[in-house]
Amino acid sequence: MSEVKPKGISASLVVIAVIIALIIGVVAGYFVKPVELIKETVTVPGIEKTVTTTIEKTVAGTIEKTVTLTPTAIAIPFTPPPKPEKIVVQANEWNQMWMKYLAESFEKEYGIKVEFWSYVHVEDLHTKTLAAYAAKSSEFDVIGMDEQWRGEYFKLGVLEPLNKYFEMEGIDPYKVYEPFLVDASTYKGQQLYVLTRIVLPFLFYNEKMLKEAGYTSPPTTWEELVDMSKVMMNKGICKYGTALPFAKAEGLVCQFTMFLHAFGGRWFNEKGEWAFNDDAGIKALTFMRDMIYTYKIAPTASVELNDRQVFDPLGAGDSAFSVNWNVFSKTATDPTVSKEAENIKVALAPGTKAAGVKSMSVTGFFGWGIYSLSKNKYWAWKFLLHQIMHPEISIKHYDIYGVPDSLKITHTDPFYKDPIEKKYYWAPYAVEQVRYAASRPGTITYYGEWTTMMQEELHKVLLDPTVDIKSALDRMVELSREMARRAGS
Amino acid sequence: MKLSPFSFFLNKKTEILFSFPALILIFFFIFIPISWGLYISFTDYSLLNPSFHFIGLKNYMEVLTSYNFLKSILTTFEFMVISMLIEFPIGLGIALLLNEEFKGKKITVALSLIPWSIPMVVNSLLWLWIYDPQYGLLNGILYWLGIKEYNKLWLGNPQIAMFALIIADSWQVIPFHVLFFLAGLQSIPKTYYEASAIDGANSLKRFFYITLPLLKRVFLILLLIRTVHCIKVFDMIYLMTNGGPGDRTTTMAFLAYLETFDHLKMSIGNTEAIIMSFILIILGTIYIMTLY
Amino acid sequence: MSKKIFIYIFLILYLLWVLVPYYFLIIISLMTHSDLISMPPKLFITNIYLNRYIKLFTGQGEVHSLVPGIENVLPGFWNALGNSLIFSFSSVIINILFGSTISYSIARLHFMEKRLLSLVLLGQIVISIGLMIPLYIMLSNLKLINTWIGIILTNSSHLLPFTIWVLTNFFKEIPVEIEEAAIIDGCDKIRMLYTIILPLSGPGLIAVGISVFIYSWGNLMIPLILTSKKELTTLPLFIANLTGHYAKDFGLMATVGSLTALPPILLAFFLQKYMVKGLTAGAIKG
Repeated sequence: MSEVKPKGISASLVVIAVIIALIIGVVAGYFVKPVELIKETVTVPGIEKTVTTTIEKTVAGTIEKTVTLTPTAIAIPFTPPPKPEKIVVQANEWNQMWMKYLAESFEKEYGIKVEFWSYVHVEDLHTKTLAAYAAKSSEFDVIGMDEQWRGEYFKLGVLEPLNKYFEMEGIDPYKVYEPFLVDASTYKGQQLYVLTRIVLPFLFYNEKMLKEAGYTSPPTTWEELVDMSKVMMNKGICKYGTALPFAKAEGLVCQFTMFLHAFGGRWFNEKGEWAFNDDAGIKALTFMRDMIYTYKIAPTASVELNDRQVFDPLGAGDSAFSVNWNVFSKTATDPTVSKEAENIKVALAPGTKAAGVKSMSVTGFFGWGIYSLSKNKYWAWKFLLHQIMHPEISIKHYDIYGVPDSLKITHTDPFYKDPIEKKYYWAPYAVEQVRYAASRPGTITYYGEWTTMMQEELHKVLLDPTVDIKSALDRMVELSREMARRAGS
Repeated sequence: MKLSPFSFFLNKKTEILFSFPALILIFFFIFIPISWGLYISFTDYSLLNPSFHFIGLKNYMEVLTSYNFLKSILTTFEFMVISMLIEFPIGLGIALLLNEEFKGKKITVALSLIPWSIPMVVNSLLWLWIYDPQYGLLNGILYWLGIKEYNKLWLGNPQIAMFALIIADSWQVIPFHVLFFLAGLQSIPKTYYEASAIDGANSLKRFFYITLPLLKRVFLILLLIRTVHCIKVFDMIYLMTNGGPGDRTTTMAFLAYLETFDHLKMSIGNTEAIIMSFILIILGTIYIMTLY
Repeated sequence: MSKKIFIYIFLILYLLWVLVPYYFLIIISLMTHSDLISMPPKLFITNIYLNRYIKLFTGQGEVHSLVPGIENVLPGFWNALGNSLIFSFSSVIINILFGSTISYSIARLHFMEKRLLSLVLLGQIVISIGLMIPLYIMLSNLKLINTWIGIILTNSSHLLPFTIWVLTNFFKEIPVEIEEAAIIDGCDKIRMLYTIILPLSGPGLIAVGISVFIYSWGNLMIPLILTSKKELTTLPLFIANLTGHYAKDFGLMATVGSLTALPPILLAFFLQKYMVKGLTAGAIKG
């Protein structure tokens, strides 16, 4: 738009304008503090200056990859913006327990208050963030991130890509976090958010029961697990092999992901279309159902149990196994929660003999990122960075939640690793399991609709042993493809 | 009834003034939403797309021919009939017992109000525990009785889920029936019984020829109150089965909720809500006509 | 004599049926989780586990729940309690204030008696989730979602039909002659209100107050649909969130549940005379 300048502005007006501008400038200059140029170099113990590495992934569907990273030995000097009074971080009463420590340390170091915006359901996080984004409001700085919102958030641009922040600090994320976690939070080449902890299921088993039945080591495949269960059930050692979390909830989709990939299946084919109704998919779903109705190693109540209640039979001594979230590492050994506290041990989640998979688990990662409309992105980044800078706070995850944190240094540097492993015998298993895990398809933009459909269809199959699996899976794939078409991706 | 001389001091204005606040509230929060809902049911309104395009009876056609809605009407009816078949006889029976004179009658009546006064949420969570398939009380009782297959599914079993819900509701609602019947029984003059006893009637005859007929009014009112309540039931379904295994316990009320807030199909949910409200209005009108 | 024994047996069974569930509610909250996963369920507590209540009342302490960390929702109980109190008391006040004036008009002044009572009855019947849906749309357009006004006025207006019904019957029972006598004795309007009408209608007002309080205390639908902010959570909604999301930890649920149920139970037990009158009002005489 071009403005038509009115002709004949009198000189006096111009003079007055200039004087006013000068006054404003002087007054403003009086109040605005000059920004100092700070040269920051980051030293995080354990980061190497030269970086060339090979990353190998065991997630079904990806291939070996060689990554060469350019050395970023010197941090780029950067002028930080002025400190805000506070930053707003999304949390709930549960997450807050750990974040409190981080916030205290952060406040002490930078003098910026950390305010927690509390939510009740994880889903609140999703809807509230989207609502704020739609209203173009900047009420958050750090937002919580569940892996199934990746596609949606990326499409909408809700998260601030973190690559440039890492570069600015001279940090290579692959060196700081477990590589798998970095990949899980990267989408289309952009690191969208960071993960603070490692949450994924592995195998819990009752050592005493296995010994009684004559087994010296836990099963490494699901087929073995079924056989062991049958033997133990026949001997009356346990009531059933394992309870399964097949209630109609997100946990069911997690379970299906695990079994699908354990049998060698995958979500998409090479063309990028939904294709989990192949042989592997059929085997997986059949196996899931057979455990209840055919092999009878799982109770029929499984269709009503969610992925937390499922732990109870193991704790009560009714079941011998449970492939469950590693969050239960703490409760498994707590006598006030679990009656079999002394007997429960952990191992890697089983794979399958049928597909020759060594071990397979499913990711349940929750992380946080910088809200793209935040006004304090730099300081929000500093908050995320704070975890990296303070491994001693990060390792509190073990104490509070019973899960490993996401920093590589706490898993590799003996200074941290040894005391942790001495205290928590399950720690190395959880870290190791990360290499053998598959993800739900969180990069699709229509995840909400998709998961509702999947939960319903999967549950229908599991409720009724007479439903035909092939046609059920075909239906699911068809519906998924239809959603993909409608979403245009 | 004579007009109170009080009314000499007041004029029409005061009457209206006195009634104003209550009438406004009722009008605004009860009748306006119904009309508004009615209006919206003829449009394609949605909260995400707040434009009103008149689409006539399309919503109604869609709802009235949908399998889900018709099934939910059946489910509602099922809930209603089974509930009442259980609650009425038990309520009457207990009321008959409480009508007798005995020590501690007052305490008993007071205590029997407890289930009714417990918030429905607490009742639901209690029964969730009782019905828990792994460590619940009901399965525990089966275990004591020595039943081998004691790990039964209650709320997750499509055949029993409805029945389980009804029992959980009955526990809370039977005191209400008891109170009603008790009040009704207490209004029957004792002389009727004494006279019939003189005439040689035994207790069974007394029950059928005196008690029941004189309870007719109370019975009818309770019937209508309960019918309405069963159609409205929502809290319990939301908390305990979320519609049931599959859609086994999805009543009309719950379906309307699901469509609106879960599937976000506002126009459909709203239409179902309006249909339900109209069923209730029809029932209510019958209620009023019976009373007056 | 056998009839009496028969009656006593049945009544004892009835009382057990009535009281045992609440007993379990309390002992569940006092058991450790590992005791809770016993089969058969423990009838008596062998070692009392007070940690949940301690965490609830002091915010300190460790509670060993199924998933570490979920017990941190417990301190939110107080916020919900406060909200429930505000919600319930406001509804009681509004109902008594507005309800009594209109009931008086109807009872004494016969202000559109038949029509209003019928309308009021109809209103009472129509209130359901079916009403909440258009109400939600209406209020969200008026930006009254997540506001105190929204939920308190909605709840009050939904209870007004019941209040009017009960109070009208109560007022009708107060003989007009008393008022007439007072006027003859030279009593003026205001004094009559305080010394005669209010005391006589006291039972009715109490009955209504208790019923409205108990109903509002346990109302789940209105906060569920009309609020989404955590600050506005009332106790029923707080419990509902516990049952759905957080791992179905029965210990936690029972803790909150037993405390939530306490006020209505106490009210009903000690003021049962009034409650019964209120509930059955209109049933006998109509």
